[in-house]
Formats: sequence, structure tokens, C-alpha cells
Amino acid sequence: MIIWQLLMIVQGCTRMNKKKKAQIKMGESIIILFIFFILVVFGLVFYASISKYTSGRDAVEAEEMNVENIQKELRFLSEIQCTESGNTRFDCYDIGKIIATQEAIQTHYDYYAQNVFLQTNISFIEVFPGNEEWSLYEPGFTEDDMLNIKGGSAFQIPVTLFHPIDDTYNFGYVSIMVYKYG
Amino acid sequence: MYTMHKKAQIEAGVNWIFIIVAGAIILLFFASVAAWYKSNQETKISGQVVVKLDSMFTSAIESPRTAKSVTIPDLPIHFTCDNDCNKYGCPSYFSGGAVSRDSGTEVVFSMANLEANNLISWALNFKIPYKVTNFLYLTNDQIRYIIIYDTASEDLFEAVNDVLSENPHLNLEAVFDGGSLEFEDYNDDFVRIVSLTPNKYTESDFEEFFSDSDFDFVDVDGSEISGYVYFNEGVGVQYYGIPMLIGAIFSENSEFYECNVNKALLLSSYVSYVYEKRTQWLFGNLPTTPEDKTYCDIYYTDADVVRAIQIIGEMSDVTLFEAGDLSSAIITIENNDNLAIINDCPRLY
Repeated sequence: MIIWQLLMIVQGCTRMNKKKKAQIKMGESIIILFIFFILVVFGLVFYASISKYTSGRDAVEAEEMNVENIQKELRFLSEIQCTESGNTRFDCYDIGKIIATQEAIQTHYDYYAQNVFLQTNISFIEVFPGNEEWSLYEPGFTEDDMLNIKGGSAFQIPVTLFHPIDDTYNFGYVSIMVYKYG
Repeated sequence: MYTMHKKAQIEAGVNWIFIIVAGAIILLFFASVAAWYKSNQETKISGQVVVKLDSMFTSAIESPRTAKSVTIPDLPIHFTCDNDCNKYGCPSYFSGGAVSRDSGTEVVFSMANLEANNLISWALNFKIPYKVTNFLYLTNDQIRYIIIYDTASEDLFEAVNDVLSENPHLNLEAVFDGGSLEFEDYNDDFVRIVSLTPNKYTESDFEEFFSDSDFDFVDVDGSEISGYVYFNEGVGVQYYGIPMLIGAIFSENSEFYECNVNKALLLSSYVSYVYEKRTQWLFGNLPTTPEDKTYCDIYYTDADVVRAIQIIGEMSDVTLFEAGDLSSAIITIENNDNLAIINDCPRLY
């Protein structure tokens, strides 16, 4: 009887041992998978932070590119360039054309706002010998637009301003303010 | 014993299912990450290529009469121009892969697809007679251009050839039509045949010469000032001046060409408006001291000059514009400008 009871205990222990072993194995597998996924998550978080940094840098580059494009657009805008019988003088702007373009912008505001100047404030400032200023374009912001503006970038580029009536070339600069939306 | 064996079998089966499911999930996860990364990088590279191309095109536009041949990555560059234009421009884009860029007001004459690792860029001033914009022409050395002319069209040919010969990178051939024509087929990617001898040839006349090359035919009927261009015996598209005619030589088809012509005419309407206002401003601001220049007002008040500028501005409006008025309008403005310069008065343009 006693022997029978001992045999039963040994058999029970063996069964329990097998069950426990299987449980331990399963636990090991789950822990391995858990660690694996933790490593994957770490990797993803690392990649996401790198991507965030890169996209931030790309956004700054895109903004600089936008400013550069506006500068180029302005530099080669046929409406305001100095010309001699249709041939262009670079970095020179005709005051007569600037004044005429101010009127053209008022008449065709949508065209110039959407295709040429976008969200940019542009003025020409004479520094020598006079000190006149001509505002070429100011974006027509609504109240909502004003709330969404998150700063901007200002640039000043030295240029020559040609006065067609006096036939004189004066020193000045063009002031460009590119607004940034949030 | 039997039960234990069965249990072990089930356990082994469950283990395998677990391994397969977990493995599949892991593989799927990595495959999706790889696919996402690949598409992300492709878009990024396409974006960089398009930005570089845009910069290249801008510098080409800025330097008229300077032809450049550059080596580029061997990827297709695609151009579109939809003739559904409005007062803001015509919907048009160029792309170098998955990313495209808007070129709504830039006048770009090219084939719809440029596929070679070389790109020839070239720009010309569009002046009527004042500068309106610069036209950009794009092609590659795999496209062959053949220009046919005869005695009657020699003047037009010389005007076109004088300008085209400034671009040494073009695969260009001029053929004088003395009665019979002979061509060699060099297996070019594409051959564009341009005839300055109107209504003399059709596309089928060239089929025997270009059995191994893709080709098309453009017929030109006009002068240096204006005329019509017919792509593959289709409806004629009007041109004004040599730079615009040269645009037809480089353009994909009639629709693409007309779309870019419309862009140019739209720009001319805005630029002409500025010249009209500038002319009025000059008249109203002529000084009396230290030197009396009121005598100059004749060059700005002359009703013909203002009307001439308006005519040029009306080119984009087919209901107002008559092509016959264009050359006289250009001459009127040029004459007034010349007289203003001679008499020490401000230039008109």
C-alpha cells in the first residue's frame, strides 16, 4: 500500500515536472519574443526620431529654397527689369516699371498673388542719392491668415535703381519678407 | 501511455503553429517596414531629382542664348501641358519619377518624355519688341531634327538656322529641297522632320526613309514675324516670331505647343499692361527743369504707340487680336523707341 502510494507520488512528480518544463519553455519563448519586440520598438523609436530630425532639416531647406525661388522670380521678372531695347540689365530695376507694376498688381492682384509673389512683402528702397521707397507688393492677409503666421524670413539684396526720366542709376536695395505659416 | 503520446503530438503541433504564426508576423512586419522605407526613399530621391532639375531649368532660363548639355541620371523626365488655360496660366508640370513640380507660367518647349542620360537645355528671349519672358527648350542628343527648305523659304530658313546654329549640341540637319529628297536612317530614338515648304509634303512621304526610327512631321507656313505650324497635318497653331517657331520644332505635339504658346501670350498681356502704364507715367512726369523735356511727350502720347502696346497685349484674346496688326504694332513701338533715343528722351522699352 505504502509502495503503491510512493509510486503514485513519483509518477505525479514526473508529470508535474514535464508540465513545468513545458511551461518554462513556453515562458522562455514568450520572453524571447518580448525582448525581440522591445528591441524592434527601440529601433523604430530611434528611426522615427532620426526621421523627425531629418524632416525638420528638410523643412528648413524647403523654406530656404522657397525664399531663393522668390528671389529668382523677382530677379527675372520682365515687368520690372531694366532693359535697353529689350535686352536685360541684371540686378537693375526700372523705377518707371515698378510704379507701373504697382498699378498692374492692383488690377490683376489674383494673378500676381498666386503666381509670382505668394506670401511675400516686397519693397524697393533707394539709399543714394535719394531715399525714396516703393512698396511693390503686400500680401492681402485675412484675420485668419494673421493668426496663422508663424514668423518669417527677411532679406535685403543690393540693387541698382534706374530712373528713366533722369536717365540715372541710383543705389538701393530690395527688401523681401517671406511669411511662414504654422 | 496512448494519451501521453497524443498530448505530446498536440503540443508539438501547437508549437509549430506558434512558430509559423510568430514567424509570419515577424516576416510581415519586416517586409512592410522594408516596403515603406523603399517607397519613402524613392519619393525622396525623386523629390531631390526634381528640385535639381528645377534649379537647372531656372539657371538655363536665366542665361538666354547659352546652350548647355549636361549628364543626368538615366531616369525618364516627363512634361505635361494642358491647354485648359485660365488667367493664372495653363496647368502644366514636369516630373522626374513620382514627384512633380508645377510650371504653370514657365514656357517650356520639349518632348513629353525625355529618356536619356543627357539633357540639352537652351533659352531664348521672347521679345515683341519688349521682353516678355524667356522660352526654355529641352531636348537630348537622341532626338534628330531635320529642317527642309527650298528657294521660296530661304529667308525664313536663314532666320531659323541663324538662331539654331547657336546651339552646338543639337542633332540638327538642314536639307535643301532641290526636287528630290534622300535621308539616312541612323536608328535615332526620334526624328522630327520640319518642312518650311508649306503644303508640299505629308508624313507618309518620309515613311520609306525612316522604317527603323520613330518620326513625325511638322509643316510651317509663314514668315519671320508670324505664321502657322501644322503637326502631322492637324489643325494649325499660330506662332509669333522666330523663338516661338523654334518652340514648335522642340514640342511634343500640337496640344503641347499650343499650351505653351498660350502661356507666352498670357504673359505678354500682363507685361504689355505694365508697358502701357509706364508709357503713361513717362508722359505725366516729363521734367521742365533743369532741362525741359516736355518735347518728348510726342513719343508717349502718340495714340498709335499706346494702341500698339494694347494690340500686343491682346494677342492672348482671339476675339480681339488680328495677327495682321502685329507687325505694324511692333514697327510702331520700335520706331518710337528709336526716335526717343535719338532725341535724348526716355526709352519706351
